[in-house]
Amino acid sequence: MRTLIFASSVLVAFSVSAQNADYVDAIINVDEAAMIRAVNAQGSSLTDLTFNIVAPGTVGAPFAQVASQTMYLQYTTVKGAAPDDQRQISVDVIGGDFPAGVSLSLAAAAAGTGTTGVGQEVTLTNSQTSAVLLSGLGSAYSGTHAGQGIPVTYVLNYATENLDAATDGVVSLQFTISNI
Amino acid sequence: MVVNLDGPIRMGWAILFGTSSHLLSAQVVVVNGLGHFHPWNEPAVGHIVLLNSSDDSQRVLVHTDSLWGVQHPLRIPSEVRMAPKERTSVPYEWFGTDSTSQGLRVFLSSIAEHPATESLDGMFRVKLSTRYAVDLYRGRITDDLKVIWHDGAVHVENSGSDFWAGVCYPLSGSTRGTRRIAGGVLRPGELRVWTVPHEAQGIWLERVDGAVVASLRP
Repeated sequence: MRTLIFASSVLVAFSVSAQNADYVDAIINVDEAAMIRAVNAQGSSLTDLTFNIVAPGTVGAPFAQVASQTMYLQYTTVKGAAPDDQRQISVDVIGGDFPAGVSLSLAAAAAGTGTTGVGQEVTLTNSQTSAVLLSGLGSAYSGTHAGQGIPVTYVLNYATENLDAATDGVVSLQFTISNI
Repeated sequence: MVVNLDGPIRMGWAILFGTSSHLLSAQVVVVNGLGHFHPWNEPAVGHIVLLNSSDDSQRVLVHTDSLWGVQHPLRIPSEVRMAPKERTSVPYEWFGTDSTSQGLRVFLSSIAEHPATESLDGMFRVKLSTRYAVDLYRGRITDDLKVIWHDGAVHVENSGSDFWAGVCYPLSGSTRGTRRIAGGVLRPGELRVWTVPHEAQGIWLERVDGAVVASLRP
């Protein structure tokens, strides 16, 4: 939290009731805030994001790629003084395993008003379980309405010959906002 | 394995990236910054200020991890309960009071006191959540920076055993340029590569305590 103290003639109007002072200190506190949440395309808190890898309808054909899906990370951040002035959003797999032969790509694009940083495309697997999704975030906000926020597009990657239906597909992701 | 009955030949996987709405709607906010610095010769206490901006009471779970090396003990609550719209301070205190450089990351995640009932519908449900990471640093700031120029960029490595915190500016003549190039914390052994503007004659590395080292472009 930064505290700015102004003693200015602009503020004299506030001092009329003070008998023994000819100025007033206005103390302005600015919260060094960090907040983030995940929403769907309608701007509501996200509940489910489901991918079905379905067998093809034609014998001899490979499994088709499933359509990508996009969610949004809405945020508000107000930075402090350097070096506490650049933030990032990372993603971690905190539970479960990807099915054999399956990986997940997440592509984030900077969005919002202010210093919105730079988005990255990352791929998560059973061996790559952590990545930085967006860096260089300063003082900025995303907006609160549908379609506002950092779009994060999920693409499931697999090849039919590498799939194994005997493996489970349960993954838990966690997004963390931190300093760089 | 999840059997998807909607598939053309009734076989496949369903990978469910699910989120629990009570987790994602939990709006506990950190309002006094994500990085706290404590000089080694001052009392090793501080606080993380949280605001529950939601209309529900929340539980905030707190756990710590080392930013480098051995995790130094820190006294901090493991859980904080917050009433709706409450603003509260989570105090912490370093146990070690010597000058050893220490860095900890405090993770804060919140869950509602009265979560909504979930229906699994026979499918896997995976919870997806958000959290905040507040970095706490205490101790000496290192001088041991290794600077290597390469193709218009500068490689800055912390080769000491303490952390470095500060900002990198372009060097203009023998003075500091106005536009910052980068900034942050370099933990022991950490390397950053920063692109330096073509017109800069070098870089000016300024620590948070004001100490400066400069490096001329070769």
